[in-house]
Amino acid sequence: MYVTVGFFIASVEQGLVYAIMALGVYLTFRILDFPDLTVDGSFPLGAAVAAKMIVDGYSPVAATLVPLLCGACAGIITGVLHTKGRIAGLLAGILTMTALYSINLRIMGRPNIPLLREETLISQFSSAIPQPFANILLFSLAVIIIVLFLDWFLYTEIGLALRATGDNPYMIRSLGANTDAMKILGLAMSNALVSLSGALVAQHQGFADAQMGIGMIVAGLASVIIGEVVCGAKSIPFATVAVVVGSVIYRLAISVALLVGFRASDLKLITAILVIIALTTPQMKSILKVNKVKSSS
Amino acid sequence: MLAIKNVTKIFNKNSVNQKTALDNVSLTLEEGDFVTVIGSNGAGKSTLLNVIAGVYPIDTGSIKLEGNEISTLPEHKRAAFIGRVFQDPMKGTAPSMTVEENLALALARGKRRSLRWGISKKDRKLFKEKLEVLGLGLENQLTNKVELLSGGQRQAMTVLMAALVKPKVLLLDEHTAALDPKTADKVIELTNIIVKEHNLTTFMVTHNMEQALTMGNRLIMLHEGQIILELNESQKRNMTVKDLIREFEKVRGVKFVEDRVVLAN
Repeated sequence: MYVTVGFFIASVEQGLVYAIMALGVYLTFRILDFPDLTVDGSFPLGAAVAAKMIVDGYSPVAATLVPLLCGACAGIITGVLHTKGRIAGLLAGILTMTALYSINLRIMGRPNIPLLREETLISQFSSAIPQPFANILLFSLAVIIIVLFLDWFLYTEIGLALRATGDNPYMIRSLGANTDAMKILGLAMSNALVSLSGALVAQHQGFADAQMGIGMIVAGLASVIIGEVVCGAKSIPFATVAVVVGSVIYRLAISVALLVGFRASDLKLITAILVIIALTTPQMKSILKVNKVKSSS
Repeated sequence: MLAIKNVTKIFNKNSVNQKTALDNVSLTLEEGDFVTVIGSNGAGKSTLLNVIAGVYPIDTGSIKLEGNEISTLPEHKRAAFIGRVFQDPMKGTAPSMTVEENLALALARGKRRSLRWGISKKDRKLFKEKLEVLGLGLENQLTNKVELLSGGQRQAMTVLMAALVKPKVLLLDEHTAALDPKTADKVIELTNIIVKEHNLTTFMVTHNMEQALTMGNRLIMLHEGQIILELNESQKRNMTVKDLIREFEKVRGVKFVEDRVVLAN
């Protein structure tokens, strides 16, 4: 019994802390209609900055918040490459991601920084509240604040223009919004969240690693899509909560996969297959329908 | 009010596909002028509207609105004083956003967008009043997503949105061409109401010659990027569709071939 409860709690913890990353992916992928691969670089960027700052003796709060700015800068770079440099969205993200790999190694000075004996936001929290409640409380708080922020922001005048930029750029340009600026803003916000998530994950797992961003975008997509399937996405508040739920379910599914005997190294394959199934289901349905019509006639 | 002077627009310059879409076009509009624009395919009608709106930069010439040069401004800045309706009903509204959100986006045209709540109670009241005029029942669907609406409903909404904040110039680019005849009539009726209500300076591209003659107070015919015929109000009143075609043939010395032209009456 203890094993199952512990297993469940660990997955929820992970689901919540990675939900912040997934909310960032939701902003670009769903709201802006921009598949942003910067994520694979901005996630470890957040972790690297946080770990380096903590090791260098900065306060854990600062080490958690500074990554927000670093991530925003990464998003702005991708945005400027895409809008002003006219580089295709996917490639712009790949370029920033690749550049960040070197930058992250420079920031850390080595491929891996352990944080086990350091004072982190997590250790500060758990000195006041016993674990695992401290983690759950901390991450829930962060997720709730971010979800409420997004729910508010996406209904403001700027938020509406941002959504319209992803939905119909012709229309919103003819109504006077600068779609380039909107894309850059959306990418900045998205990657700020992704980096924050990276900073928290580093403190949660006790280390930052240059490789920890590999496949992050696909994990984020999986969370967004699972959430939509389970909760629907009727409106923004529904959709943002769905992303969080999706992230938790995804982490649970991953844990189950490990329990039933898959290796940790298989998880990226499983995640990719999951996303492929989710993305191709609508096409499969229509193909099956066509076949049915054919066979019945 | 709007002065277009010696405007030339060349696409694919210095390539085999080079095409002069607008050839030294000059035209001056007074406030409240409603110009219908006709011409065969590729005559430069849409290009004319698009260079005014700022979709493409012009190669030479100037476009002045109330004495200010606007041809150097980017599209989204010109949108502050230009209202537009496109041929494709899907182009003028954001499908996954609600009716009221679309209207709120239109209400913010020309204003600085801030972090204020996008739709106020007052806005909602205004939207209901405006939508009632359409007579499509949209006033009861404020929170429905626009993708649930028909093409005609969406186009009617786009016309409304283009004039929600009074534009200095309204550009209608064959905005009824993709609609069925009944819906098209309704959208034309709505266009007339809105243009009259605000006394809007308007350009309307159309393939319907009858419409071009009955609507507005001026008419221009474009051919190969040039204005080949210009009619004022009284000249227009005395013209029939047949006269118009004869005029075209006389000016160009070629037979009028245009399968898309609607020869009503």
